[in-house]
Amino acid sequence: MVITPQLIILVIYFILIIFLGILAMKKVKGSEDLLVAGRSLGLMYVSVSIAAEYMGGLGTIGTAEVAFNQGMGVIWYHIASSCGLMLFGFAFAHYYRKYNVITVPEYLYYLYDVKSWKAASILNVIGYWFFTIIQMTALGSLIASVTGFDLRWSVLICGVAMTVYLLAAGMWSVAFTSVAFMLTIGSGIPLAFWWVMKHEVPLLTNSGGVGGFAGLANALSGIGLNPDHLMSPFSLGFMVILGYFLGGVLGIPAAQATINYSFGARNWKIARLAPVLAAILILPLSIWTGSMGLYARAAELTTNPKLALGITLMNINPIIGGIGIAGIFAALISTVAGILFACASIMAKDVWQRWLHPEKDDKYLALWTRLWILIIGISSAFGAMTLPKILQQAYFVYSIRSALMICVAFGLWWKAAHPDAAFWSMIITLIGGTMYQFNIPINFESIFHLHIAEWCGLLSLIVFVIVSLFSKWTSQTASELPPMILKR
Amino acid sequence: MKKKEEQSNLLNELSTSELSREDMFLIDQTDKPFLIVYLFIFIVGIILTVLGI
Repeated sequence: MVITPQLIILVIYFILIIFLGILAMKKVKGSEDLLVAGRSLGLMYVSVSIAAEYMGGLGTIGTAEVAFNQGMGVIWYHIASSCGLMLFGFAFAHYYRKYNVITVPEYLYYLYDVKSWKAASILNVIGYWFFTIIQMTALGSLIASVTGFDLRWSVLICGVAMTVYLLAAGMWSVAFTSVAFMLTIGSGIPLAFWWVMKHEVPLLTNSGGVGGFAGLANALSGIGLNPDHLMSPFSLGFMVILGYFLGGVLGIPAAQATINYSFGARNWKIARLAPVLAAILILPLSIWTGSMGLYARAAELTTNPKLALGITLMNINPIIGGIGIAGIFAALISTVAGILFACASIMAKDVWQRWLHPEKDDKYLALWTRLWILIIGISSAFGAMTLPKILQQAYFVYSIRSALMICVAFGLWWKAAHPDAAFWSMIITLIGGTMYQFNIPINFESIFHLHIAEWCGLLSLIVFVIVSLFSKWTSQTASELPPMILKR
Repeated sequence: MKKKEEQSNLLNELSTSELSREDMFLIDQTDKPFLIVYLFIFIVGIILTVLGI
C-alpha cells in the first residue's frame, strides 16, 4: 500500500466522522431520540441531512460515469432530484410531521388500514436491506481504489464503522455527521472541479492551452469525439430526462431514507422548508461531477466509466484531489448511513414493536432499534463481501417506493382512495417489478422501453385507480380505518 | 377482541401536534452560524463553477 496525501486525508476524515457520530451519544435518552432525534432538529440539521443522504454513489460516481459515456445531459439528474425534494417540501412534509409519524409505512396506516401498513413495512425493509448491501459495496470499492486494500476487507471495515456510529445515537449521529459531510462535499467537489477545469484541462494535448469548457471541447474534438453533442445539456435525449424527472418526483416523497429527517424536525415549518434548502444545495452537483467525468474521457485516463471520477481525483494536485475524494467519500457514507438507519427504523418500529410486540414499552424499542442497526449493518457488510453479483438486480425492489408515493399522494388528495387499492398496488407492483426485472415470462423492457422505476410507478398508478374505482366501501372497510379518515 | 385492542392502541399513537409558539421559529441560535457558513460555501461553489466554466 502506497501512503499518498489522498489516503492520509481520507483516514483522518474517516476517524473524524466516527468520532462525531459517537459524540452525538449524549443526546440520546429514549427511542424517540434514536429514531427521530427527539423531534428537535433545527433547519440546518434537517436540510444538510437530507442533502447529504441524497448525494450518494449514484449522484457522484454515477453522474460522472454517465457524463463519461453520454455527455453533460446528466445535469438533469440533480435538477430533477431537486424538483422531487421541492415537491416533498411544499406538498408532503408538513402532513408527515403534523401527525408525528416515524416511518412512511406508519403514515400509510394513518391513511389506509393495517394491511397496507404491514405490506409497506415488509417491502420497505426488504428494499432498503438490499440497497444497504449495494451501497456498502460502492463505498468499499472507493476505499479499495484509494487505499489499495482488498475489496472485501474495505467493505467490511466500512460496514462495521457505519454500524458503530449509528449504534451510538441513531438519527442524532446522522445529523451530526451530515454537517461535516456537507461541508466536505460543498467545498471539496467544486474546488476539485475548478482545479480540473482551470489547471488540468489546459495541459491536455489537444486543448490548445485553453482552460474551461472551451479547452475541454478542443480536447474531446482532438481524440475524435463530437464535443457539440457531449457538451450539450440535451445529450441524453428526451426520454432519459423524462425518466430522471419521474424518478425524482415519484421516488422522493415516500423514500424513508431521504425524508425521515423531516420527521425529526422541531416543527412542521422546518420540516417543510428544509427539503427546499436541500434541493438548492444538491442542484449544481452534477455540473461538477459530470465535467470531471468528461475530463477523464478527454484525458483518456481510463476506459472504465465507473472509475472516471476516482481516477480524475487521483491524478490531480494531491491536496485538492484528497479533499475532492473526501467529498465523494462523504457523499457515499452519508447515503449508506441513511439507508441503513431507515431500514433499521422500519424494522424496529413498524415490524418488531408495533406489529409483533405492541405491548412493549419505549425502553424495549430503544434496545431493539440498536439491535436491528447492528443486525442489518453487520449482515449487510458480510452480504456485500460474499453475495454474488446477481444481488445487484435486487435493486429493483427499491423501485417499489414509487408505489408508496402513489399511495400517499392519492390517500391525501383523492376521496375515493380505497384501502384495498393501496394494498394491491404495492403487491402487484412488487410482482410486476419482479417479472419486468427478471424477464418473466418475456422481455418486457424490449417492448415497453421503460426504466424499472417508471414501470413500477405506472403499474402502481393503474392498479391503484382501478381497484379504488371498483372496490366497495363496506362497514368492515370503514371499521378498519383510523377515525380521522372517516371525516374525509 | 385482542386484535381490536391492539388496533385501538395503534390509533392512539397517531395524533396531531398542537400548534405552539415554537412552531413559528425557523432558525435558532445553533443554526445561524452554520447556515451562514453553508451560504458562504454555496456562493464560493457557484463562483468556482463560473470561473471553471
